[in-house]
Amino acid sequence: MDDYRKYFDPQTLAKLAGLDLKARLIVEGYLTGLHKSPYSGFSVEFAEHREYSPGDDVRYVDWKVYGKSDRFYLKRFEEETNFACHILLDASASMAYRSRGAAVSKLEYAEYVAAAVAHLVVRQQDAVGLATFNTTVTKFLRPSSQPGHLKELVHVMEQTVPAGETALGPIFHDLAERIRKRGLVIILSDLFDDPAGLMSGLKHFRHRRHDVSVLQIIDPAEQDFPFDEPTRFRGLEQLVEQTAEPRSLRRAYQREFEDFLREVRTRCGDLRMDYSLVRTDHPLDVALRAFLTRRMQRVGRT
Amino acid sequence: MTGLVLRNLSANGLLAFGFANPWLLCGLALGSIPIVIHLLSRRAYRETDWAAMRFLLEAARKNSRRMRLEQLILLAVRTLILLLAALAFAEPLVEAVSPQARPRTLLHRLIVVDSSFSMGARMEAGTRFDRAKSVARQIVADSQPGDAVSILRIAGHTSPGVIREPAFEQDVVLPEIDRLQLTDEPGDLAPALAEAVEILADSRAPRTKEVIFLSDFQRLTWGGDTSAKSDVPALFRKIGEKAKIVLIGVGDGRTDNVAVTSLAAVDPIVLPDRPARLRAAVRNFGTVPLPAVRCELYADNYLVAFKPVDLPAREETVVEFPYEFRRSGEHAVEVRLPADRLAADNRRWLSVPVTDQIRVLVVNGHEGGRPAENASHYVRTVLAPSTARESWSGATQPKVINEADLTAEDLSKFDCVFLCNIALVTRTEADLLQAYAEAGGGIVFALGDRVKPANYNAVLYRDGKGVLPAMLEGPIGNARDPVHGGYTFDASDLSHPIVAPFRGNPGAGLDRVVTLEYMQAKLTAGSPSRVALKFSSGDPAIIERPVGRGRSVLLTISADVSWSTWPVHPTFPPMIHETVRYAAEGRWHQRQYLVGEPLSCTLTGRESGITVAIKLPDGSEQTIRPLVGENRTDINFAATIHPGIYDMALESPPEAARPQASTSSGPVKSASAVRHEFYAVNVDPRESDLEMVDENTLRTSTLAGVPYDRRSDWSHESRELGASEPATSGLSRWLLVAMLALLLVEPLLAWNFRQGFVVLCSLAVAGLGFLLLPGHPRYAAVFAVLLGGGLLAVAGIRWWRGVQSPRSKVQDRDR
Repeated sequence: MDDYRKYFDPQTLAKLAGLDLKARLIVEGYLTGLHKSPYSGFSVEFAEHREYSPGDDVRYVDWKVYGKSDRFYLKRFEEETNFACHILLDASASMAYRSRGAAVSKLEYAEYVAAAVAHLVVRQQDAVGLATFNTTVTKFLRPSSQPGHLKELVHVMEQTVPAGETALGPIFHDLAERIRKRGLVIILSDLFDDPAGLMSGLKHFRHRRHDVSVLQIIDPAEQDFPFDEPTRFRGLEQLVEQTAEPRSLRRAYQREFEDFLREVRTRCGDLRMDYSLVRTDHPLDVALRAFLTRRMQRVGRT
Repeated sequence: MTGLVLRNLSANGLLAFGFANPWLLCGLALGSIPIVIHLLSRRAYRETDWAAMRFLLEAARKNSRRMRLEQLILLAVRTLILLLAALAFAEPLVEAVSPQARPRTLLHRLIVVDSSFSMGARMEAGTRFDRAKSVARQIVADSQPGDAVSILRIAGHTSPGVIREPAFEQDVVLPEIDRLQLTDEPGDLAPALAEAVEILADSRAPRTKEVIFLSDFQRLTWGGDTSAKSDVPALFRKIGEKAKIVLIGVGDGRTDNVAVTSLAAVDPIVLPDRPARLRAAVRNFGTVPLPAVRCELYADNYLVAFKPVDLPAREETVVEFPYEFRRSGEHAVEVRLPADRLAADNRRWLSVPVTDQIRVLVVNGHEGGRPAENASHYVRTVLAPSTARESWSGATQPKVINEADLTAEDLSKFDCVFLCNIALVTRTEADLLQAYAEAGGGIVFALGDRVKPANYNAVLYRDGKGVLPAMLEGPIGNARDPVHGGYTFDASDLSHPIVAPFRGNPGAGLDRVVTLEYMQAKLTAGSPSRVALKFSSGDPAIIERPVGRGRSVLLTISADVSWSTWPVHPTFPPMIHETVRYAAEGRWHQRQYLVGEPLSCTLTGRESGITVAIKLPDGSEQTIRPLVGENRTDINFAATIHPGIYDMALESPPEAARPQASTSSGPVKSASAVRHEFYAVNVDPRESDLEMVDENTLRTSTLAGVPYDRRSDWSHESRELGASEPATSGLSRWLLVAMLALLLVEPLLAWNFRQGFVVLCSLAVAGLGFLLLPGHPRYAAVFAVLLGGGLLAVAGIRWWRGVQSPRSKVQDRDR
């Protein structure tokens, strides 16, 4: 394994401390392996000026205009005006699941992906925002391209504790209302909810003309159901328990689960959304590449 | 049955059910173990958090009934495994009380058909053998599907095996029964019984066995002493341990039969144009005297004489035919009786080689100054007593050689070798003489003052293994000092053929021959040697013994006048002639055989390269490959399956062709290269006695201590269970088989219930097929193996696809 590639391994990343470090390592590794930026086609051409307001990065103050008009104006660029990335991170209790063979939980894996994407976006001087949710929206950070904003995002994610049930439909409606500016919406979730409500919420994003990418993150055990002995399953979100003979139930469970994945994938395709299924035992670059490649294709089409 | 038996279990009282080891039924409690484990396992489970609960709940809701059923079936299989094991070890027994409820037991029947020639006796309808075949067919026809049948025959030399492998299909067995043929051999039980013991050990056949003998139970075959080497009662005991023995008599109990029991030439050597006496023995085995039975003599297939003979009941009558053969060579003689109910023993054949010359090689051991002083002088003179006016034209043709020339002579040209006062015999000469005698030649040793007893004992006697009939101990008397008066022959016992002409003829003066000196000879106990004539002192004067096919005669006196006056006594010429004839008889003696005995003929070393063809009584010809040794050639022909004359043609290669062979004086066909020898093969006369063995002999001797069932016919109700085996033996075995099958299926059921269930069903179907088609167990086994194998293969493929598919699905999505 090349040196940089080791940071794609969830098991390796789990040993590192600090989400920002992890994100940086993932992105650097990814870019080093790619040899060219996936965003090389995005220009940073000057678009307009806007008046300075406190908190803005002084690096973008146009000192020439200040010399002429004695006012502070900031330079605005084309991409910044058009590209705002919103990362919606599912922090419900089901995302806390980590099977015996997995290195990280689904939430941790989602955070790695989110941080890496945010790092990439900010590195390209684009704005990135974050919303964490379970039953309700627990945190909402508006998009910003400030490097300091990245720290804020990482901090929020590190502080996120998975809890509560997933109610994706209402949440997505709420967030669609909140995110007014058209942009890229990246959903990181296991999507364990009623498909009808889920699709209703996703439709809302499309209605707002957002570009939506769905990364469904699941644990390998949830797909393989590798249990043999009689087991009592305790629900992480619902307070129910089910005792089962896994060997006799495996086939039926897998049929239900695959039906669900197939339905989600089909409906996302119908809504012209990017959809990727990611298992937490997959390397991070798989998730990133799946996401970014689809992005490139979509940008190329538009 | 020592175990627990519960009778009248059903309402009709049809079955008695029990267990050989009822205490092992405690093992049935083991059947509760899987249930207990199942109940415990419902409480003992692992706990885990689970996110995708909605899918699990949905799957459980939709499949709860199926899963419960699967668990119950799996639990039932596990319980059944233990219950079957416990039942199998308890050995359940089911005994039928009423015939309708009798369990169907598969039988292995061994039908042993007596094929000895006495079975050819005619009855009102066909022969005994026909009836035996009919009963055999009936037994096979009564067999039920799944029963196995083997067929053996009782004969003499013919192999007893007809169908050794247990045959389950009547289509195979019935044609073999039809093809069974009567032999001309006497019955010998031992080979058939030994074969039966082997077949009964075959584990492929059903375990319940019956051995059914179809025979006329003739006294000779079943009397218990037919085969001295084999222990017939012991073999019957072995059979009785494994099978039920059934004796079915197919004879009619009649004993009337007339047979020619022997036929021989009275004179040892038959000469042309001289009356030969042919003596036949005819026996009436019946209880009614038969007057004026026409007894015919055939010579070379022509009727040459006949006599009406009165045959008293149960007695043997000797019939003698004088007949003069016109030419030398091989002749076939037959005595024939009118046909009766057993035809095989009404004809008897005799091979009569007629020779016009008896060639004698006289070996002179002492050369004197005058002819009369030669050791061989008197022998040569009496064998060819020619005078100045008239030359000798008799049969004996002596040739005198010096003892040094013995090894240079081709002994096979002579019928007899007469050794006169040979001092020392070398090892080479002894070997030559030994081979010559074994091939049929005759040797006469006449001793004398030059003989070294130690040399004779070491080289010729060889502790009884050599050609000398007795060990020489040393001379008795002193010919140079005739003071004591000498010794005379003891003429009180003249029963031996050599001295038989003097019997009843005291005037011949045999007891007046004075012998001054003789060599004392000692016969060891158990020696085949016989004393033909003794001295008055009790010591033997003439001793003879058979050596191979030939004979050896020892005269302990000299053949010249050095030790006695005998050579000049009138008794000397006839005695020497009789001695030579007797010694030379071996050439023609071994021409008579019984059916089944191999014809054997030994030729001396110079016969190498010979080709042998034999013409059988039925006219067919066979070529025999001789076994060529260093100094001899052995010819053996084993297929003497029919009585009659066997014409053996010996053809020498052209370069080895001799003017005429000495072993036969038969006609020379082409350039002296081919000579013929006739061999007579006859049936064993003991088999002609049709009297049946009595029940007491069977019970106390032949089948001593062995239970048997003797019947006069076969009937349907004969299908009974073997006494040596319980009615339901094998049930435990099937329980264990079922348990093993379930043991194999259980892991598959637990791993993949659907495929395991299909395998379980297929095994059940195969088991049903095995039960319903018991005659085709192989098909059921093949069916089960193919079905099970196919299902396992499908399961394996599906499992492999299942392993592969999640990965490929993910790869598809990533793409």
